[in-house]
Amino acid sequence: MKKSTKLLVGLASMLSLSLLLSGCGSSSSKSTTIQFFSTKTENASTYKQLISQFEKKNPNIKVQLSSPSNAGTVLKSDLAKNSIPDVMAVGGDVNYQQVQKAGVLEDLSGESFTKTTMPEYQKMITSISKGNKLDAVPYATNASGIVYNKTLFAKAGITKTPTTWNELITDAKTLKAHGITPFEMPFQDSWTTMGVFNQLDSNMISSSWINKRLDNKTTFLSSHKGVMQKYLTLCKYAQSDYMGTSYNDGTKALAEGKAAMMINGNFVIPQAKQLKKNIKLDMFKMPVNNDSSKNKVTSGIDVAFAISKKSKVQAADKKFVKFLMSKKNSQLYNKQQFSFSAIKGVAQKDASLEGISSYLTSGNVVNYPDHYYPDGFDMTAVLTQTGVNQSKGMSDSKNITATLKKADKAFDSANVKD
Amino acid sequence: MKSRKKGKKIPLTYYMMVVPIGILFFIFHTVPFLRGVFYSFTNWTGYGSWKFVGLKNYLYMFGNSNITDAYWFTFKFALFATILVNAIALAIAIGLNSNIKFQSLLKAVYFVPYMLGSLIVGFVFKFIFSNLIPQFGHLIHLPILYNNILGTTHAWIGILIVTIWQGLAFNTLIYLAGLQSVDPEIYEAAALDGVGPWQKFRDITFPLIAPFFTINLVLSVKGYLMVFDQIMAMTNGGPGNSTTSISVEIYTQGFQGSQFAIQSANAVVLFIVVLVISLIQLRILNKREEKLS
Repeated sequence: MKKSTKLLVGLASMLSLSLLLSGCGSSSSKSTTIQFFSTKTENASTYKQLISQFEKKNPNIKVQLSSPSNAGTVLKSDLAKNSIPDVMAVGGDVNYQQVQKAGVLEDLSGESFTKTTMPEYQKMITSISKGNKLDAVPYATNASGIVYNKTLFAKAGITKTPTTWNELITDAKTLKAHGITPFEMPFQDSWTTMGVFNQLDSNMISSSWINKRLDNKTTFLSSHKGVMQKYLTLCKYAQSDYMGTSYNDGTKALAEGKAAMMINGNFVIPQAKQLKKNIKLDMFKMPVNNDSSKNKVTSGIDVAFAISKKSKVQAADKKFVKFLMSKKNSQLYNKQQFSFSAIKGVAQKDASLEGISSYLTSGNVVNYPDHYYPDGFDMTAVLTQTGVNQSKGMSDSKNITATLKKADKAFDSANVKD
Repeated sequence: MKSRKKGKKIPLTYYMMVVPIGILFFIFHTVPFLRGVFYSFTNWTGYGSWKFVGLKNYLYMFGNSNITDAYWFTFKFALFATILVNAIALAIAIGLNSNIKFQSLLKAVYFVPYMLGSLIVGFVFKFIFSNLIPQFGHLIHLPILYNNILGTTHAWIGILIVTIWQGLAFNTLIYLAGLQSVDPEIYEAAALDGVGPWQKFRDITFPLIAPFFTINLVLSVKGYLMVFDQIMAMTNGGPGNSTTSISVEIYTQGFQGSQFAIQSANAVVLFIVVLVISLIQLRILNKREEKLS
């Protein structure tokens, strides 16, 4: 009780504080102010740069950026008190879903800036929206794949990145034979398990599966055995204490050349490069299937812009979003944030991402399966248990059954309809 | 009665000391608490519309294995933490109360963990468990230390160690206060009677500090049933759900998992559990105190 009451008290005091603050704001300034909310903290510096340019061009509009570290909770408390920010930069995930479900977002499907975005990513927004509406415009996207160290690959005599599952495993064996850890898996931070699972799942299971699962017409146990088999195979080529390595330590190990590959997203690269500037990293598409034409890049929406229905300054809001979505500014965002763009014709040109960027500009992508999971279903908890089971020496077949049964149970208890 | 009230008017100052805090307590503690109880009978997700669902949330709780697992984990954790913290704290307090060298310095040292925030302590120990101990293990070739304990099924022991380290300070302080309240003449008399050290502790010291033992035990159990900060800092409830305490479950599922109403019900149940356990403890221990005195 104590914690939740504390939080409630926090919310209550925040509410009264924000009432006071908003009271001050409206009386003292004549110019328009846009409240700009971002669920990411790491791109704040880029936003600040773009905002100052925008404010220079539009001297009577002020943009107030807030990017709290626990953005999801802040956004929910905003919803609870029925006052959301004017413009929101959200991921294509559960945060967007919840705001959208509450019916407080402006329909953006008719806007001029919406038409410049790629239809594949628009679809990712509509597929998780209530009523299939486009209440947010996709802006920046991320891509999963395998980040690898070029130097270590060369050292083991691997000249070409693998394009099929068998090649990937052969390469892992070769690396191991040369005394190099093939995969760095930082599963102490449980979200990183999804970096592996999502890519396997999205390439092996049909995207309509989730709808059947939500209607209880299928189970993880009956369809995901192959996925888990590959998951466990990959874990066998990981560093010895993979359940006890944190994401930061894992990235550090990759940067220091202690392991050759990490299965995760493009955001690993800038982080590793911060630790070691001259490391040669690139990314390749994760070859999940043996038929290489079937392998797609798992890519999701990192940032999408949404506008509040209740915003009193909608014209300014739209002007601001349009400004951010111009080709030039999108290019700047890409460059600084190592992301990809949902805007047609804006390509990521960095050499560290050349192994993967062509797939993204051509729209040859699939979304992250966990974006469609019901709220409160935590697959990462299931997968970390799998890891513990493996390190305890449980046999694969037993572990797979136990994992999938647990996943089904957890899914069912989160999948409540009323 | 009436005449006393008239004759001795209670100064307004006393009310001014108590009433404002009482009002604040009511607004910021009692009201949210009652609202939580209220929402536990609805299907509210934290925002938007809601309707009454009766006892559905409470029934759901018992059918959800994550929640029942959280209860088992929390009980196990609270039991071990309470026993170990109190046993070790009592030993330290007796040590510090004797005329050892550097007594005041050691008292200060043992009190330091209490002044540090649990989150900070958690993060520091997370680093120790995941980096320093495995490195040390490789150095002395002890395979049992190679792996980060927080990534194994024994993760809860890691959390237990940190909780004990931090919890000791406060309990030691209370025991120390208790020991200092014991009249040294009693010990002198006992020494004349030729009482041995163990008998001295069992028959003299312990009965005399019994009220302090009661306070410590009740506060420990209450605190450890609500364990939260250390877990959030060190394992976030993992691996699997193996270190998810009730409070962690309430926070993660209630706020991130949109189960606000269900977790409100969980919070109400936790409140009742803590209340009942504390009352039982007080009853038993108070009876024992009476018997001893």
